[in-house]
Amino acid sequence: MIDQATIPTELEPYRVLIQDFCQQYVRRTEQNLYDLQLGQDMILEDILSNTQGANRIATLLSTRWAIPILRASDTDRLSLRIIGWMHQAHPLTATLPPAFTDGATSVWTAPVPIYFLPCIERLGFLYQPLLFHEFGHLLYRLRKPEMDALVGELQREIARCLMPPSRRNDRHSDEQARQRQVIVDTWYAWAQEIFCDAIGLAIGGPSFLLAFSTHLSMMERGDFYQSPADLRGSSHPVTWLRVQLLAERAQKLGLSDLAQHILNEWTIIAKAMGVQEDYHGYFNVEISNEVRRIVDDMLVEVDPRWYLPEEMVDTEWSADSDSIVHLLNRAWQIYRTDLAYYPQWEKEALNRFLA
Amino acid sequence: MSNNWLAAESFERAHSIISALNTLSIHAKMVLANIDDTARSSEAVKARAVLSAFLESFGAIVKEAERTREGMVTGADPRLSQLARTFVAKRRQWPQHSRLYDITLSEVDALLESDNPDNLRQLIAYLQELRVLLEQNVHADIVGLLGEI
Repeated sequence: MIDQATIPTELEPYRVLIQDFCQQYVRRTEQNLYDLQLGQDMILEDILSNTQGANRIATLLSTRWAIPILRASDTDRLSLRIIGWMHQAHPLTATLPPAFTDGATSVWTAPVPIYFLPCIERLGFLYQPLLFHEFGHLLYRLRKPEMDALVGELQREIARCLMPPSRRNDRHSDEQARQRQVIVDTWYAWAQEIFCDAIGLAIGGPSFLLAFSTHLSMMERGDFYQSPADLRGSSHPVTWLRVQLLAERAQKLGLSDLAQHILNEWTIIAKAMGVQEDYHGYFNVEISNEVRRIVDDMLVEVDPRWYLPEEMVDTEWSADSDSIVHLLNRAWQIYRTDLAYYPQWEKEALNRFLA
Repeated sequence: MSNNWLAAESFERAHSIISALNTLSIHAKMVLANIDDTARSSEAVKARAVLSAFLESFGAIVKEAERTREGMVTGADPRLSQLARTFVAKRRQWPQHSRLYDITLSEVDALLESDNPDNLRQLIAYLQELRVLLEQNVHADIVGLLGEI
């Protein structure tokens, strides 16, 4: 099936990789059958464990790894091109093939990266910059020991910030310690998400800021406030907090007007819902300073390809000379200034881009 | 935006370690039974490297978890942190019946490099218990990735 599937040319390197992966899988299964034929009872439990592992891989192959190939369509080409460009623009990922499929915005970073975007959003330019955030997860994984060390430093600083000035030796103190541990644990995933937001901004500039704020703005109360029970062990920080941290970073990059505009939009919605900002100890000014410092260090560690000033200019995109980042920024410029013209512009630009 | 990355990375790690552990376990049993298993020797060398690397990083996390009463772990993903805390809690149980919880990293390294029959027997028992611990963890990764029907 994988060999015979009709796929866009951009997906061919991924098919080769999956074919190789399948061959390795077959070799391992053959070895397992050979071991079984040896008739040695003492190794039966090991063979059983290998069989369980093979079953898991077969399930993942069917439910995840083969999907980009078996469900491929021509409309995947836009995201595949952007992922391919993104991978080639960084030495850590230059040899990784692009693979993409429908799903909630996310990435599977292991063993080979597969990106997901919702089926409507993936058809146009506006939300493609979200892939830059997901790329951050891949960069993290490829520099995991160094990145984990930095996140560990952040977690220890957060634990220090949360330490009460005096300690008692009673039940109340035990509960405080448990709560502190929960917050520190939660920050492992939060730190990576905030880092990935910073990566998205670094690569995509204004296009990422706009895609991020618009895509995440469900206008739900949960985007602004979450109870301690919901925050406990959550995989992402409260969206409003992420928007504020990202806007602050954008301001430092000289995108002050846009950052302020986005902050105003979110503040208006928060006020309309009567939401009071409260992170229940998971975030405060002191933690904010540490987060900023560590995320800066994480960016230095992975050294992403930063957007360029000429990629933000208000001029028409040229397929011959301009970058993908310019194209994505241009899409948002047209969308925000001439919404009625945008569908026509996008159609023409897509044809030029994929030609 | 979902957190697929956490479950996928945790699954990949567990799968590669369990796979390495099985290779070593089979190889050790064959050597102990005087059955020619040279065809697996190069795989066993690679498996040894995978397991040693994991035990070194896991050992550091366990050490950190043991330093505080609440088992504070930093710089490790939630699944690995949880595994380390489970390990520490079991190690603190008394009486201790399992070799898994009182053997040191350097002792495991020595077992991995040894062909001595007594050491091979200890290694096989150790690998068996480590596999049980890891397999209990991998189920949650699979559910995290694929959900349940």
